[in-house]
Amino acid sequence: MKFSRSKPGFAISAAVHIGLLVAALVLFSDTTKFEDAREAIPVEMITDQQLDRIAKGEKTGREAKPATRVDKVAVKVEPKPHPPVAEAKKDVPTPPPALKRLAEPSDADTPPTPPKRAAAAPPPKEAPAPPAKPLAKAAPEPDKDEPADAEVVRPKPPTRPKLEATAKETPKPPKAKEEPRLKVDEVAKLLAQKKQQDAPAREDAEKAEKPAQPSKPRSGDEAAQKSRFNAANIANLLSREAPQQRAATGRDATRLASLGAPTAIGAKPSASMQGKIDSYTVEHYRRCWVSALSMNALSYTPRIEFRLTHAGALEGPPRLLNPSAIPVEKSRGEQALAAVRRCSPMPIPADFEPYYDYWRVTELDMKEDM
Amino acid sequence: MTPTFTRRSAVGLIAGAALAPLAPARARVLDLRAGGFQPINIAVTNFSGDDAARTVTSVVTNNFKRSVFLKPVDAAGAGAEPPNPDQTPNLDAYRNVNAQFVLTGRSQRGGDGRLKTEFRLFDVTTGEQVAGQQFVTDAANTRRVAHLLSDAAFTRLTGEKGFFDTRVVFVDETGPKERRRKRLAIMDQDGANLRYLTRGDELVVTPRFSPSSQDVTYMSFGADGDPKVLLLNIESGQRELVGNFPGMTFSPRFSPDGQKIVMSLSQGAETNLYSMDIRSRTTTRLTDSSAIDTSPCYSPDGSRIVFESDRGGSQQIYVMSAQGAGAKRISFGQGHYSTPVWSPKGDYIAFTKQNAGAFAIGVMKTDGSGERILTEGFHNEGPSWAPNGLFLMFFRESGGSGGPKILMVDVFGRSEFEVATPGYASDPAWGALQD
Repeated sequence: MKFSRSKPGFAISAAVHIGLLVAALVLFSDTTKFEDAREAIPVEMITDQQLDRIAKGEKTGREAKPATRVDKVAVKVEPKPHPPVAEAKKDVPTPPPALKRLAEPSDADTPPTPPKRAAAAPPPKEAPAPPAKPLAKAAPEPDKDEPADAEVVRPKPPTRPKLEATAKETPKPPKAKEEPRLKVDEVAKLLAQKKQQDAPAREDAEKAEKPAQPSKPRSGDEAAQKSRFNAANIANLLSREAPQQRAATGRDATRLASLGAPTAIGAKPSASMQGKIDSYTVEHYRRCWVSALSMNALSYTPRIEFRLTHAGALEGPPRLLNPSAIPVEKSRGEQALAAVRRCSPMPIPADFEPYYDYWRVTELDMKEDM
Repeated sequence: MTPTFTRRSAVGLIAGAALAPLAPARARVLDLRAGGFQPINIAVTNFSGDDAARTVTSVVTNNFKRSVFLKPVDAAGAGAEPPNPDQTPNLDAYRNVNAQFVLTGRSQRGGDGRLKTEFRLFDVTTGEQVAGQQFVTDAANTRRVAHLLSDAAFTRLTGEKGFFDTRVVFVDETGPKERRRKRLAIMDQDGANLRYLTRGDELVVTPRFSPSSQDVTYMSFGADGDPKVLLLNIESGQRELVGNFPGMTFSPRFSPDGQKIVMSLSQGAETNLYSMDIRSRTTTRLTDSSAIDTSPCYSPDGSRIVFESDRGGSQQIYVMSAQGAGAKRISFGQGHYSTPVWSPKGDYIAFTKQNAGAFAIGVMKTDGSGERILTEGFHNEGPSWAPNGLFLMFFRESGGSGGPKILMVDVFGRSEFEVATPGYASDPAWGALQD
């Protein structure tokens, strides 16, 4: 639908709608939330006499007969023919075996050996010797008490040996090899490998006790024995951490709403709490930020961005957002980055933890003290 | 062409407006004001090698102690074994002594007798090597190599030029006060390698280093008693008279390109400023007043001259163009101002200020604002800038039967060091970084 000047209705309508939406978002962003509706539980007041009457019952009432209990008998199901392969549903994979719980470390256990530093790196290759240059003979140090006269016709004073320095860059030493840190995927692979190693041993033990079972129960195969579901296995798979959600009473629900879930979107701190967090952060990093070494630095303010983990440690390296090519300012920027690194980690007070989203990312304008 | 406004684009606009509040919020921005000045802690490890290594280590450590901005920490106190200069040192040990950087190196003579010196500078927080250089030179230049190494580390850490590989010309004073023998002398900025340039037969004052050559200009009182401006080549010892003017010439100073000398010429009751081209010897009169104009100094770009004049009734500081036009007063504080010197960085002018019986060394911006006194005492005079514009040398007379001594102060006034000389010393002139 093309916009036509003679028929501006659609454009006007769209603009008005957009404006209303924006206005609604802006105006109603700070409104207070509706309170949760409370369930109305009907309550009927009865007297003590009425309660006694109910407990006594009626003489003309029917006698309650106990119901006979019947043992439930398994229903026999006729085996259905195998459906065509093309129509077979997706096989349900067998659940993974239970994770072995690692033994708690005891005093007898030796701590893991730290990664060894690499063997002494080979010395850097010697730079090729510079071409031999004729050296000015270093004359003996002149007598300090009676220096040679400065007139032209007199012998020349001793010459200084020339500095034929060949300044070369010293190559950086090779970094010590560090054992690679295991990533999450690699941990999972290791666990899977361990399971595979343990699986044959367990299978052998189980085969000796119980009849063999089909490898995978196929969907539609009702005759196959059901998978050996073990609630204990499931319990072992469950996270040992505190549950994120739990059945809450009214009071609990209110408390949870105010504290916020650990990994859910953090609650917004009040203005006073924001000020408390901000001043705490500034005072913490001020310890490592020293005054300018040059008056030129007064015109340059490094801005450092950094992210923190829940524990207050750096999440990745800090970043200089406004680097400068001027040597003094470049050095100042490096000092600002070093200041943030030196003052990390930042201890996190308990009352700051619910507002992680607020203090997770910070930008510091590193200014001078004058 | 009429713009196309379709239903699709309108839906996109509406969706964007609706989703805008869900975009990730910006990081909070906080102002962090520095908590006062602190030098950078640097651990200088013992250089490996022969006796030259010990000299290098000692010179570098002393340089950093006098640098104000770098503070050497006790590497031995770190408890780390002497590092292999070819490997990254054990940085954990240096963190324990609050070192921010570690300097390692080696210095030893090769089979050909030449001295090979190399260093590495490590950042303790990141473990990265941030600087490293090798020097190959004559063994007699061990101290100069240490100064070059110090300059390299200083520049890397502060972004500023160094000042360690420089020399200072000054007036050496010996003997009793009433018959003081004054000779021109030259030394390294740390007081080492002192050498005399004149014999002391004539009274010499106000030596000034050329910024571009190994020449020194100074004022000498000859047999007739009239002060003359002379030019002396340090290497050859050759000396020559700068012009033959009727009257007295004094307060000579080179232009930044080393091609001119500006000085005062006194004729009768007038003392005005003149500039002279060294090659052609042509002179140009810069001021023409009945006052005493003296102590001229070029700006680093050579476009302006700062000088001292009493044309307003008392000694004050004025700035004019290098051609002598538009002289403007810039000092307005209490007292008398003299010996103005323009910083090599062009941002400040140092001066001597006399007020209420005390002499102070201070700095002000080139328009006269931001005046700060760096040191004050009985008699402080004659500031001279380091080539990086961060330090000043001056001389102080303590009074009594003693004599003056040369001191060094940083431009922030945070510290003050005496420069060791065998006798009394005055009129320091700080030269440029050596080639």
